Amino acid sequence: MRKKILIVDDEPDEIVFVSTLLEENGYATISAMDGVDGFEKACTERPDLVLLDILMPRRGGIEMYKHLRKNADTAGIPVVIVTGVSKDRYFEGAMFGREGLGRPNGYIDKPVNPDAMLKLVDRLLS
Amino acid sequence: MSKILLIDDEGPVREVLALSLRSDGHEVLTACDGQNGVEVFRQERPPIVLTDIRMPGIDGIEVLKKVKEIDPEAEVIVITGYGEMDVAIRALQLDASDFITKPISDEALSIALQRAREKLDIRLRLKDYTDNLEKRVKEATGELRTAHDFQKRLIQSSIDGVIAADQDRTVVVFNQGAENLLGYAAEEVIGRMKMDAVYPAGVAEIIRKELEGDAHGGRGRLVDYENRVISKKGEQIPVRISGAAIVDDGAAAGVVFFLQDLREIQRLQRELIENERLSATGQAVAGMAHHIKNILNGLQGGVYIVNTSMKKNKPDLLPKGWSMVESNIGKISDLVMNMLVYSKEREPEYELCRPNDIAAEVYDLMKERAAQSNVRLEKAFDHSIGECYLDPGGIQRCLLNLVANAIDACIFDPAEDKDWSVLMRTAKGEDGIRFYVSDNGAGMTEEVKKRLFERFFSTKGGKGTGLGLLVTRKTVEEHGGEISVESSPGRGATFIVHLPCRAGNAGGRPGPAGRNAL
Repeated sequence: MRKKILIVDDEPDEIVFVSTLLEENGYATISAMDGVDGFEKACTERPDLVLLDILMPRRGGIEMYKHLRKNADTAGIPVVIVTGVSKDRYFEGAMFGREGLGRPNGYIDKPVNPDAMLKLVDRLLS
Repeated sequence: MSKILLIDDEGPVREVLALSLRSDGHEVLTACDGQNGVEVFRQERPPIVLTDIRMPGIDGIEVLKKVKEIDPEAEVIVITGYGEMDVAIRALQLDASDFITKPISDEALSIALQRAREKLDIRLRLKDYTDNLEKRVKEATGELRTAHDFQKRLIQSSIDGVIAADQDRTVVVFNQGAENLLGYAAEEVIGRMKMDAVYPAGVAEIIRKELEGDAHGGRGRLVDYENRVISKKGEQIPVRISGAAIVDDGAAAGVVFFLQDLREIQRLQRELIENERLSATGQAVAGMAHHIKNILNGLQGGVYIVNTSMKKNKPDLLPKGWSMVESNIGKISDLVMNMLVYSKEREPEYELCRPNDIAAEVYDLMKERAAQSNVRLEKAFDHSIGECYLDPGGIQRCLLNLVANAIDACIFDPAEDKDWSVLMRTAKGEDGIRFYVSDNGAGMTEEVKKRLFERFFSTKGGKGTGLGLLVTRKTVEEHGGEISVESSPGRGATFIVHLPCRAGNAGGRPGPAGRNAL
């Protein structure tokens, strides 16, 4: 059974690119273009991993992350933040550290390096 | 009461008088003859001397003279025998205060003494007054000098140039500031040069008129009026002039002007504008770079998919990758087109076309993109619009920009579960045609509405360059038309493009006054 990955990004090109990359390497993908739709799909589809963009219209990545972590059904799903926004320690603490929800399981910088992404995804899903 | 010296050679008279004076509360010194009297006076300096005239040795007249020599202020009352008027007159000529005649009546004596005391008092007060007057004059002069020096220093050290002229317009004050500003030394100007010489030709007359007129601070005043002065070297210097007519006792006495050098201020203003321009340019470049980077990401993704398709021999991937490459090339060409349109003046390339067809093309181009973002794109065209002269390429770009913005306004709408739609409408009117692009997305605050057509203003971060609306307005205005917007937060927005072309049947070339009219 192929592992299922949810890609949440408001840029259609990014979704096409990342889904092609992952599908070519043995994963199944689903996608959403904002945090509202993303959380809904996470609940109904129960993916094995979420790749989450930060800056999106409507509900952004940080909001969606909080929803995922607070909801018992989705709290255990690993989340990788995929973003062009800087991710130093301060940033991480400010965004995720406050509410005791735990840190995301990984970060990937945009533009996405295909090899780095595959390595991280493989590790988290092995 | 007073200290009185009583001089009389007749013992009983002296004793009775002394007793009477003492009982009136006076301090009485006595002397039995003129010689003794003068001695006592010299030592005791009583203010009042009462002396008999007829005495052996030094008589009363001599005593009077000597006392007056010693102290001209002393009051000397002489006592004369009955009928000796000539002696009394002589005594008065010698500055005796008064005379009384023998036999001495108490009343006459007390009146004479009172007068003497009053004279003394007056003299004392007068002395006091004159002494103080001198002091006060000295003080006042000192204050005046200080004030004058201060004012002089104030004028002298004022950074502004201060120039005053008298009624003949000859310069009478020319401070350090004026020297620095105009390059003259005060000595070569004061009393030698006419005020008008510091202004370029014609300016002095203008300033005189402005000073007399009601503008710039009222009649006889000039407040913050800007003009030029001319330096000794002939350089024209921009200055802010404040001045006033000097009036002395109701009569015109001259003029004074304060000149503030504006060169530095103007330099700073130019610098500020330049900085703002640079910073706007910098922001534009940064925004553009961000936007281009997003497009590059898309291109790299597309190229990766194309490569994967070829490497793994999976032809089904090829169209997906290739369309990504194509769409991002499209984005770059849009950007470049917008930049070109924005960066140069151009005349619209008019040709006969159907506005509804242009709108329909835009509808077809954007329908897919809207659907991808869960936005319904709708159209409602006024079919009575026929053909007219427009630049179809330019108008198409305008509508593309407006529709793309409208879709983005839906995407960026924070509301959840709304039924988003964008409506494209056309309408014919008396004064031309109108395109309407309405959305029910995020809407705009007054602040955003105000800044909408600012250079490179964008609410979309890296997804916008701030060029779209700028280019749209420019194109619309080149057509002689106008663009307006109605919007409020949460309630969407409607952009209205009005183009002043008469819709109808084609007929001939457009005239210069309305090249886009039929």
